[in-house]
Amino acid sequence: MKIDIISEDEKEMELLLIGENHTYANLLRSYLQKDEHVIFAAYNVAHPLLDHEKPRVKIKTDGTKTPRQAIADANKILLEGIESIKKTI
Amino acid sequence: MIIPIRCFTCGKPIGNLYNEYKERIVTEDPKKVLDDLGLERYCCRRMFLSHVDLIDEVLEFSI
Amino acid sequence: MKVEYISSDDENVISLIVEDVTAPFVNAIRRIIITEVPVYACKELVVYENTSPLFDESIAHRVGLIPLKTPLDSDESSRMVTISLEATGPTTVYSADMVSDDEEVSPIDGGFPIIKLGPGQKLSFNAECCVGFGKDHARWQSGLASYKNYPIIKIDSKRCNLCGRCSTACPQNILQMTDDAINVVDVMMCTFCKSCMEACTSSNEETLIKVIPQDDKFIFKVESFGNMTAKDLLTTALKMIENKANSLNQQILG
Repeated sequence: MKIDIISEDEKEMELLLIGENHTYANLLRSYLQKDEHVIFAAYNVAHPLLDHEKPRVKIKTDGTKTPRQAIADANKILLEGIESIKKTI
Repeated sequence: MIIPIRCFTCGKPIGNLYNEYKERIVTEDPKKVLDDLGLERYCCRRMFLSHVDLIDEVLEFSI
Repeated sequence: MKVEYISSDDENVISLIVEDVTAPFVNAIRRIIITEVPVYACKELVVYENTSPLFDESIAHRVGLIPLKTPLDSDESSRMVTISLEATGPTTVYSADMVSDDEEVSPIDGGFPIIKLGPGQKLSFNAECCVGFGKDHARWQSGLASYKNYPIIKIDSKRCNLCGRCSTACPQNILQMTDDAINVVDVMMCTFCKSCMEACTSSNEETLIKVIPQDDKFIFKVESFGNMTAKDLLTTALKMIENKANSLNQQILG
């Protein structure tokens, strides 16, 4: 996956996940929203007939962590979850 | 014509189960045969229940 | 996160109970299993002779849909495999007659009927098989996955008058009535039809039995079509999500 950062500052960030679709974007959004320091997280995917392999993700935090840190933390929980399943099977 | 290789709806490979189904259906209840073959979803079950095997009639003609 | 494995004697089916996760998590695994796990399938047929009752493209369609065993580390860059077949009627041509030049990539079962040939009819082709993804064509679909919220069935036993209507109404027969209580047998079979709630409301003012789907606990079932075992399929799908998360981490944190 490649990313394309549209805008960024210490509290807000908007980026494109190129080559992805709802599969990963929705997953990331759900774990971002579980973070108490994230006040806004959403994603948008264009219509399939348009250039749709670029989900746009927007994140706003309350200032105690940067949006980049929020994404890293969401990924961390996600990866831990995957490890638990792998261990069980 | 001839049994499709996969279920149209879910994609489960079913072609390999048809011969056994055809043999057993003569004496047994279709519900039991389908259950034994592992076809739990009704999309897969209808592939067998509603298949008409015309290949033997078409066989006599070739392209 | 808690994961519980439900054992099965079929190596092509895995069931898990997963707790403390979101629906998008199980959905992501489901979507990857259906569309993005790489498997081998016959893509193009070079037909040398075909006097059978079906057209070349019909035979190519059928041969393409036959699932092929796929080694674990296959991806888009894996080499093309050639599978050849030669048959003369009168006979039924099965997938067992297909000869592959790579013994690890061959039909999962020899029992798929490809075509029936009459006397004197011949079929001869070379199939070029390559790795692809389910999102491009059904021939590359590696399996199915589904998830369901874990049911919680709550019975207000103090006000329950043991009329037994809910027990009769349940189409899955999971409510059993004894002399002093209604017991839930095999709660995982519940399909959330809520017939029990309706039946209870018909004889009481409000329903004393409640069926609630648990938001963060799911019953997750993976069914492989045979290209690889269900365990390998699930492991491959999980690795693909891991790669996505790691790739994003790398670009975000530098």
